[in-house]
Formats: sequence, structure tokens, C-alpha cells
Amino acid sequence: MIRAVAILAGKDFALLWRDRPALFWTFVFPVLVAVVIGAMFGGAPAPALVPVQVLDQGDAGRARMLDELPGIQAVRAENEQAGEAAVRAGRAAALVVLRPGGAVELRGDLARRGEVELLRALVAGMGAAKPAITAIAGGADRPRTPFERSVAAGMAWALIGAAASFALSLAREAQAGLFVRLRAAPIARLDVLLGKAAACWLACLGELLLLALLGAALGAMRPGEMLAPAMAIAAAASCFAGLMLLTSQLGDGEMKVAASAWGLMLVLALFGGAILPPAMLPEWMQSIGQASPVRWAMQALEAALGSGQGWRDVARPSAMLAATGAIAFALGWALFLRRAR
Amino acid sequence: MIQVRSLHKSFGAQVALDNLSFDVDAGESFGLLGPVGAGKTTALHLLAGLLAPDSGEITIDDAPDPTRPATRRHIGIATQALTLYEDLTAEQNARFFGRLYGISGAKLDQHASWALEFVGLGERRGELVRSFSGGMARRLNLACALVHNPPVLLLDEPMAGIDAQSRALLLENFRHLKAHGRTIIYASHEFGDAEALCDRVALLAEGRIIALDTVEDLVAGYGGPAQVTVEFASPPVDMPADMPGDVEGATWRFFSEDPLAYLSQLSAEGMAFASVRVDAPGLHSVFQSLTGRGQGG
Ligand SMILES: Nc1ncnc2c1ncn2[C@@H]1O[C@H](COP(=O)(O)OP(=O)(O)O)[C@@H](O)[C@H]1O
Ligand SMILES: [Mg+2]
Repeated sequence: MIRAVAILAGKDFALLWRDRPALFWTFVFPVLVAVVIGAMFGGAPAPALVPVQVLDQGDAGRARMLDELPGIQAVRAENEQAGEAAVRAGRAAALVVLRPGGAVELRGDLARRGEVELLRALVAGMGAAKPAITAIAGGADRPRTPFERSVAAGMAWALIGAAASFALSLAREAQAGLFVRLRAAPIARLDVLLGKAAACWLACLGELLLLALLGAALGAMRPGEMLAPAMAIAAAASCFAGLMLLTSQLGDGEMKVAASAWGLMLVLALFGGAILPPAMLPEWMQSIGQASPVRWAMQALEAALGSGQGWRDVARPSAMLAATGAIAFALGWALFLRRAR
Repeated sequence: MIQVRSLHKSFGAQVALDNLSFDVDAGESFGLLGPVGAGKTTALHLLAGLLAPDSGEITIDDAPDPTRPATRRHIGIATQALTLYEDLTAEQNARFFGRLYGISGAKLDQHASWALEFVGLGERRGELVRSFSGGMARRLNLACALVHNPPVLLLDEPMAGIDAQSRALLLENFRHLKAHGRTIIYASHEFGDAEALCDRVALLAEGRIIALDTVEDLVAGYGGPAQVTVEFASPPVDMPADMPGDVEGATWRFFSEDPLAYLSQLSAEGMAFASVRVDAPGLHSVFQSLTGRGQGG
């Protein structure tokens, strides 16, 4: 079975290679989205001053020293909760707690390790012992560079482009009678669809990795543990491979499938925030968009790659993506069997 | 080699095959002939496992039920509708279909080259199928059925859209395959090539076999008289009354087992012939006499 799926997927890559529109939508357009949109919104790098929350619990002298340190912008925190919330919301890279008696605690957003390390060195320079860093997990919806959002949008478009293109190629193959012909070969019928889904999945995977590298080059990627991005990417690709199969069965012939696949994908993209950022959408669209796999994919990918969150934080959207992919694949398979009769 | 027992297949209310039974021996070339809509394609699709019968049984090379993948390894099918990847090259198509049947490595190289050469596409192996003429695509369709070197070949209208020159090459190739022990089922609505190739033929009409025998025996049994067409030098003025057939202007058509008798009689009476054509009875005439109509399509 694996052999048959590999052979069929290999054929799909050979077909993809000669399919200019599919290549464009799957591989070129997402890169354009990531780079051009990001640049349009001002590709400013990380802020020049490291924003820090300072909680003074009885060491006013040190607090004032912190205020005057070059390279940082210190803001007083009301209490521990408020300070940590500011870090989580992305308004500060870290919270510095000055305990009575001279102890210094540093609680930082590890996704901003560069800024936190700079701060740690500065604090050590104030004469305190080099403090240990306690991690504060960052928030999910908190792009720090414009590229972070645009790379996530590019990733969403990679998934959309691959799903729509492969749905089309599947429809073309069915229309040419090739699925009937393939049934003469000693392979299972499921293999034929698995082959197409595997090719779509691999195309998504390849383009997401490419965009992740691009994002890293643009300073928009701060992955934490590697399990989280692996999970998010695999799940997002599975979801869209499943949706590809389902949409390919929602019509007879290439033209109808083109309409249904691109139609569905564009709606998911619009509500999911891949065309305009969610914040720019009316509230009702934002709430509907919560149900868009495009939204989940962007959330999971941003969290895993952009904010360096752990696998636990991306587990939920990843599970939703994977489940959607599995359900869509099953539905597509059922429709395929019904239409083949 | 192939046993077909009481096959029935309907599409909705349309009965495509009605109680089809026949055997084909190993190494035999078997013709499945009949007009368009007779059920030839349906029969081949059942044999290849592309369709499941409503009832009946098929055994191929001692393997049961071609809807099982293992049985399909024994079969190569060249479908009537061209089923090729237009955006792949001829070679990519051939290799892809070979791989699906479990061939790889040096064997795949060798088989794919052989199959492409065999259908006369060796030189054009690197070209996209999109750029091929209908005849070239038909030949590639055949190569893709041959690439795994199956003992049983199902050919559905293999000459459709083929020009006269390639036709001769293909007929020669089919004979070659036959000489090398392949079992061939040749389905066509054109009787000529099948007559030349097949050991036995089944004539199919409306989903039933109406005759099954060797070509010679069918023609001897049902072929009837030869058809003779005579062009006189000028319209005959006084045709003897005992002559068969009809005269229209200078053209005389008649059927006879012994046309020479009539022709020599007229010649003795001083009539001049511009041309004489004798069409020996063939499967056409057999079909006609069995169904009382032409072969249609
Ligand atoms: N998929 C199908 N759906 C409905 N009717 C079909 C289908 N395939 C074949 N038929 C009908 O079955 C009959 C036999 O068709 P076919 O096997 O293609 O004949 P042939 O190959 O001899 O021309 C025809 O009447 C045809 O219309
Ligand atoms: Mg046919």
C-alpha cells in the first residue's frame, strides 16, 4: 500500500511540475504574501529599546538604576500579576522583580530571548548576581514584527493554494477517465486517493518549511521546542489535504471543482483572517472565523513558530486541524465511492 | 486461460450484457465483435475488474474474480477511451503504469523502452502526450497496457484513429505477441483486422453472443454468397432474363456462390466489362445474415 501511494504521489509531483497555475498558487503566491504584505506594513525590526516591567518590592535604589540603564525602557508594574500580563500581551519582554534585601528575579518571555538576555546582562552589571530567568509563556495573538503576521498569512495561502490546486488536478484526472483506468492496476482504490492526499500533504509541508525559513530570515520566527512546530505543520497540512479531497468531490469536472474548491477556500480564508487580519474584520465575521480551519492553522503556526510556544499550547488547534482533515477525508472518500457506482 | 460464465451486467434499466459465457485458451486470439453498444467495452471492463458483474463468474489464468488486485496482475488492458496523463511524457506514462504493477529498477527501464519501441514511439518517448496525434496516443495507450508484460491482453478498439501505416505495424505486433504466447481478447466494431488476427470470434449483439466459432467456420456457415459488382463498358441493352441481381445504369450487382458462370455466359454473348469486383463473404456478411441488418456504427 505504501509503495502504491508513493508511486501515485510521485506521479502527482511530476504533474505538479508541469502545472504552472498550481505551482504559482502553491509555492510563489504564499511567498509573495509573506514578503510583500509584511513589507507594506513596514518591516520594522524589533524595537530599539527593550521594554521591561519593573516591580519594586522595597529596593527603590535599584529601581531607579534600572530606569536609567541604556537600552531599556522600564515601566513600573502594579503587582506581579499585572507585570506578567504585560509580558504575556507583548508589551514587555520581561518582568524584573526587586525583592526586599537585594534579590532580583527575572521573568521573561523566552520567545524574546535576545531581549531577555540583554536585560539579564544589564541587571548583572548593576552589581546583583546574574539572575536566573523564569519563563513566562507569551500570548498567541501578538505579532511583534509585521512579518510575523504576514508569514502566517503566507502559510495560510500555501495551504489554500495547495488544497485548491490538488483538488483541481484530482478532478482533471477523474474527468480523463484515469481513475477508471487505475482501477485495472493491482492497487486498492483507497490508494489512489491516499496518493493524491499524500502529494498535497507533502507540498504543504515543503512550502510551510520554506516559509518558516523565510520567516526566520526576516526575523519573524522564534520557535521554542521543535515538537510544537512539527505538530502544527503536520496537522495543518493534514487538514488541508483532507479538505482538498472533500472539495474535489463537490462537483463533476474540472470547472465545477475549480469553483467549489476556490470558493470554499476563499471563504475560509476571508473569515479565518488570511485576507485581512482578524482585528480588521467586523465582530460577526471574527466570531464566525473562529470556526475556520484557516484561523486554526494560522493560530497554531504563529504560536509554534512565532511565539515559541510549547507543544501543549498548540495541541488544541493541532488536534482540531487533524480531526477536520480526517473527517473531510472520510467524507470525500464516501462521496468518491458513491460517485464511482 | 480465461473462463467467463453467465455474466450479467445492467446499467439501470439498460441491459449491457445478458448471459455472456465463453472460454479462451492460452495463447489464443479471441475476437469480441459487434456494433457500437453491443456490450464489448462492458465485457472487457468486467474482465479487467474495472466493473463488478451483477452475476456470473470470471476466471483468468486460474485466478478468480478480477476485481481482486492479485488477479489483475495477469491482465493488461488498452481501454477504448484513451487514459493517459497528457502533461507527462510518453515515457513517464509508460513507467508510471509499469510501477503500478510492481516493476522497478532496471527491469522497468527495459520494459518501458521495449513497450515504447514496440508501438513505434521510441523516438518520441520524451515528448508530452499533449502534443501527440490521436493515433500516437492510441499507440501509447497500448504500450501502457503492455509494459508489465501480462499474459492476458484486453484490447478495446485498438485500431481506433490509427492511420493505415501504423495499422499494419500494429497488426504485425499483435501477431508477434500472439506468437509469443500472449492470450489476446480483441474487441472491435470493425471486423477486418479481427478477421486477420483472431483464431476465434464471438459476435455480440445487444449484450448476447449470437455466434462463436473460427472465422472460417462462421463464414462457411453463415457467410452466404459472394457479392459481385460489375461495371459494363456501356449500359447493357438486352440483359438475359435468367441473370440474378439488379442493373442500375452500367452497374450490375448480384450475389452468387459461382459468379464466374454468369460472367462467362455474358462474355460469350459479347458484353464488355469495364470492371468486375467480387467481395468474398466475411464476418460482415455473417453478422448481416444472423441479425438481418448491417453492423451499424
Ligand atoms: N456507464 C454506463 N452507464 C450506462 N449505460 C452504459 C454504461 N456503459 C455502457 N452502457 C450501455 O451499455 C451498452 C453497452 O455498451 P458498451 O459496452 O460500451 O458497448 P460497445 O463497447 O460494444 O460499444 C450500451 O447500450 C451502453 O449505452
Ligand atoms: Mg466499446
